[in-house]
Formats: sequence, C-alpha cells, structure tokens
Amino acid sequence: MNQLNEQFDEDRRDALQEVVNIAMGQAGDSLAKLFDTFVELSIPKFHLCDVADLNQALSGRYTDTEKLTILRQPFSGQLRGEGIALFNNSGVDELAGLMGYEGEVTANNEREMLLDVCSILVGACLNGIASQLDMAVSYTAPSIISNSTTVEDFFKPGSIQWRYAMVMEIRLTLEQYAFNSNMLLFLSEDTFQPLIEKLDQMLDGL
Amino acid sequence: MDNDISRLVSMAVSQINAGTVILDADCNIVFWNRFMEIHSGISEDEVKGKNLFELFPDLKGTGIKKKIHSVHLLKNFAFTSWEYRPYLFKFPNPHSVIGGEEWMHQDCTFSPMIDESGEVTHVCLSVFDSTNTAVYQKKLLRTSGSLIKQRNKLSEMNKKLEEAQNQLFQSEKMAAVGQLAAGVAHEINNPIGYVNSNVSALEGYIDELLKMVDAYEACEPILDTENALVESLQQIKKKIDLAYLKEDLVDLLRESKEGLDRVKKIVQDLKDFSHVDESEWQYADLHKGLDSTLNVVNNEIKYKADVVKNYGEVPEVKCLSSQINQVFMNLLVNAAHAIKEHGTITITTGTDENGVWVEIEDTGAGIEKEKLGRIFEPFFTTKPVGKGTGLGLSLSYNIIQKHKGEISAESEPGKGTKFRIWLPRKIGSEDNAKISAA
Repeated sequence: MNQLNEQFDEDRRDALQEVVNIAMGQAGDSLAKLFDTFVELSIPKFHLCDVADLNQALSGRYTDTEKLTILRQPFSGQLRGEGIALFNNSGVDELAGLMGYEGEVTANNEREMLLDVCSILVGACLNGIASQLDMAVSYTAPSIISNSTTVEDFFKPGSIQWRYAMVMEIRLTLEQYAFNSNMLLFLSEDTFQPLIEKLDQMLDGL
Repeated sequence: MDNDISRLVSMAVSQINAGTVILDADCNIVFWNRFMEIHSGISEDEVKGKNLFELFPDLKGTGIKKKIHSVHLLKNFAFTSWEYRPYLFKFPNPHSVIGGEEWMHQDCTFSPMIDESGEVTHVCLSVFDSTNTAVYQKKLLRTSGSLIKQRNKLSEMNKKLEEAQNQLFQSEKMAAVGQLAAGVAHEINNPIGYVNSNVSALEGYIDELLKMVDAYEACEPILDTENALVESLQQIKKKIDLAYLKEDLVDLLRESKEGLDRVKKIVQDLKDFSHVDESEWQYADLHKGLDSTLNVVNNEIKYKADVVKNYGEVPEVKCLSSQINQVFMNLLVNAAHAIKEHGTITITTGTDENGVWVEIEDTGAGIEKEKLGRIFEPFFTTKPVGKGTGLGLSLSYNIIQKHKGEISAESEPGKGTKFRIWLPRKIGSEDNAKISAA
C-alpha cells in the first residue's frame, strides 16, 4: 500500500485529477445534451485504498439504513474495473421521460432505464478519461446487483475480491429532478501500472 | 492481401451467428447481415436505406432512440437484456420444435463506430440469441419457485401438526382433569350424603334435647337450693354457660349445614364443569356454564376482582358445554391475571340475529396493539415465564372455531381488555356430524 502511494506521487495524482476534471466537464456537457437538462456532476475525489478499508473509507457518505438499488457496469481493456452506481429509488418515475419512454412504464422498463443510466454514467466519465490517456476501453452489459440493500451490507468485508483499488466517487444530479445517483468507479490494481505509464507520458509531453 | 482480408472480414460479419445491423446518424439501415435476413425474413436489399423505427414501429417510444443517441453523444455502449426486454426484434424462436418460448430472446449491444476524426458516424447493433439461456433460466426460476412454495407448504403443515399435537395434549389434559374432578366429586358425594343426613337428624335431636333442657330449667325455682345436688347443678350450668351454649349450638349447626350445602354446590359445579358424561353436542344454558365456571375458579378471582354479571335473555345453544366452559375458564382466569391490584370483571351476554354472544371484560393491564394480533397463536404469552403456557387462548380459539363461532379481543393498554365470544344459535346437523368426526 505504501509502495502504491509512493507510485502515485503528487505529480501523478495532480495529472490524474486534471484528466478526471476534464473528463467530468465533457461528461457533464454530453449528459446535459442527452437529457436536455442541466446536469451537475460532482468533482470526483479518488481514493487509493486497501479494499479491506473500503467500508470505512466510504462510511458517512450514505446513511446506514437507506435502501439502495445497486448496479454494476464492468469495463475491460487497458482500463479494467467496474462502475458501481447507487440509486436511492427516489425520482425513478421521472426517468421515463428522460429516457424517451412513452406510455405505461413497467417494472422491467424501470430496471432497464436504471441500467441505461448506469452505463451512460460510467461510459460518459470513463470514455473521457480513456481518450485523454489514449487507453482502449470496452464494456460488457450492466447488471443489477441488488434491488434493496444498504451500503454497509454491500461493502462488507469479503464482498470485493481485489486487494487494492482506485475508487472515484461521482455524484450526478439533474436540475429540477429528484432523481440522483452516486457512482463509484473502481480501477483494478493491475491497471495501476499502465495508468502510471500513461500519466508519465502525459507529464513528459508537457 | 489487404483486400483478401477485408473480403474475409466482411464475409465473417455477414455469416456470424449473431445479428449485426449498422445504422447511420439518422437511424437508417446501412448494413443487415444474414442472421437478420434469415430470422426476420426480410432481405438486406429490402431494408437498406430505410429507417429502423419505420421498419419496426414497435421500437418507438421504448427508449431505443435515446440509447442510440447516447452512443452518438458519449461514444458509449448501450445494451438491452432479455431479462428486462425479451427481444428487440420479434423473431420466431428457432428452437421452437421442442416447445418453450414463442419468440427469440435477445441480448443486444449498441456500440459506436468512430471515424479517424474521432466522431461517431454509425452505430453497430449486435443481436445475440439468448433463447436457450432464457428458457433454462425461466425453468430454473419456476422450479425454485415451486420448491419455495412446497417448502412453505411443508413448514405450514408442520406448524399445523405441532398445533394439533399441542391441542390434543391440552385437551387430553383437560379431559383427565375433568375425569379426576368428576371422580373426586363422586367420592365426596357419598360421605357428604350421610354427613348431611346425620346433621339433619342431629338437628332434630338437638332441638328435642334443648326442649328437654328448657323443661328442666323451668323446674329450677321449685328446687331446694340447699341440696348439694342442686348446688352442683347450678355450678355446672354456670360453668358451661348454658344460655350461650344453647344459642351457639343452633348457630353452629346452621353454619355446618351451610358449609355442607356449599360443598354440595361445589361438587355439583365440578360435575357440571367437567361434564365427563356429556361429551356430546347438547343444548346448554350458557349462564349456567358461566356460573359453574365462576364457582370453580372462584379462588383465582375472589381476591382480585368483583364480578359483575349483566346477563341478558339468552336461549340455549347447541354446544359441547364442557369445552365452552373451558373457554370461559381461560378467559376468566386471564382476566384475573391481568388485574394487578383489584378490579372488576364484567360478564355481559346477549343475542343477535343468528347467535348469542358473551363478553368478558376486565379492568386490567390491557394488551399492546402489536401483541393483540398474536394472542391466539399457540405459545404466545404475555405472562411471565413459567406462568402461562401460551396455549389457553389458542385452545379457546380452536374450540370456538369448532363451534363455527367467533372469538375476538379488543384492548386498551392501561384500561383493560374485552373478549367477545359469538356462537351461532344452531349448527346444522350435518355440521355436527362433521365436527364430531373431526
């Protein structure tokens, strides 16, 4: 862990943060166009953490008892990991309009919409990062992990297989909509080395 | 060489066993591979240049446009899954020979096709046949569903069995107690009979003896007071306080007779209550049942509560009176237990159109709302450990059910509880047969 912290020294962290900031700007822009409303994306913080401490690192961000729908969007390629989107089930009914549904909306429609929002969010954020760093990334279909769980239950020890991960938290809010989502982007440990190399190339080019 | 490869690649895309459709920025079809031709029955020439949503109007208003839009805007992937959207294109199920689904289930991916300048010019739609997976998955779901159903049924049956066993146990116990009570009553009856007749005879004798003594006393003034015998007579009279003795003797006898009457009454009540010889459906007077039960449980109640009886005009009801008395006993004892210091137990009876009702109300601690719904469950008790078995009310409930009646309770914590029993005036003879067979 210390070694990893050394590898991600201040310069590299700054560079990565810059990349992330730009990617978020682009993502916000595209999402606003897609949803035709003002979109607010929080400036993400990223933690490099021992997965065992994840619950602690994330505790306090969400209430203990809030029941959430949790979805995952895996991605692979030079950047490998998973996007985990957390929805607190409020404002889901507003999604139909945003996602271009007409007529009656079934429970399955709602689930598909959440999956769409999850992959849109992950894609929007990650594509920006990947394209700036010139890293290839591909996606497999998203899925629903749980319909009703708490953050504490979800991140309990042993539920995540990696040892270390880079975790970024991104919060999406849409102007005039109750709907909101928190997303966690997990980059797996074996992505760190290529990521550092790409960051170094970028820093060298400056 | 390059040409060769690109020919092979395009052949591969054409032949690949998954649908491949390429859409331009306006969702017009640019490419439609063999998989799509075969399953849709529409050739590439027929669809080329045509708009996807005009060709397949079912896709309108279902979020597909937005998905494609997001692929263009975000250079993103978009998906559909058969679990939430069985199919995008309504193709007949190619595996339909052996039954199963009517339509092909599909997992679809929309992916961006990006040119050298980094812009998304086209969207590639891949359609995968997931029918087999879907069929298996659905079968699995059905199987696990029916397993869960069966498991629930089994545990329900287990619970019922347990309840039945407990009731059997409880009613066996009550029957044994009843038999014992009847036996004891019978045994006591004999000695009480002759003690009673002896006391009656004694009463007559004493009456006569006293008359005799009075006659002797009347002679006192004419006796020679100097005579030693007369003197000792006077002394004995003084010593035994004859006047008081005469008075008390009568009282003692009267009290003894009252005591005997009470013993007789209790013995009768015990017999009435246990009804060992009357285990058949009979018309019975509920007031009589209530009174004899009150006498049997008098010990439990008398220091705790005053009993107020508001008996109405109630016809006789066809019932198993020993069992109905058991219910009364449970309710009365519970009422007494619910009262901490001293309170009142009010028994009210009345009739309505089809039946008769009995209400037993106490001024005890009451039952909280969340517990009220569970009081008829077996083993549920609000009494301290060791005091209640949690079976009394469940047994009562079943007895009343057996009579096609109703038992309910309302309660206000701190104020008291009111139980209401309703019994139908008549149970059809057919029902009776069923009940006694059960």
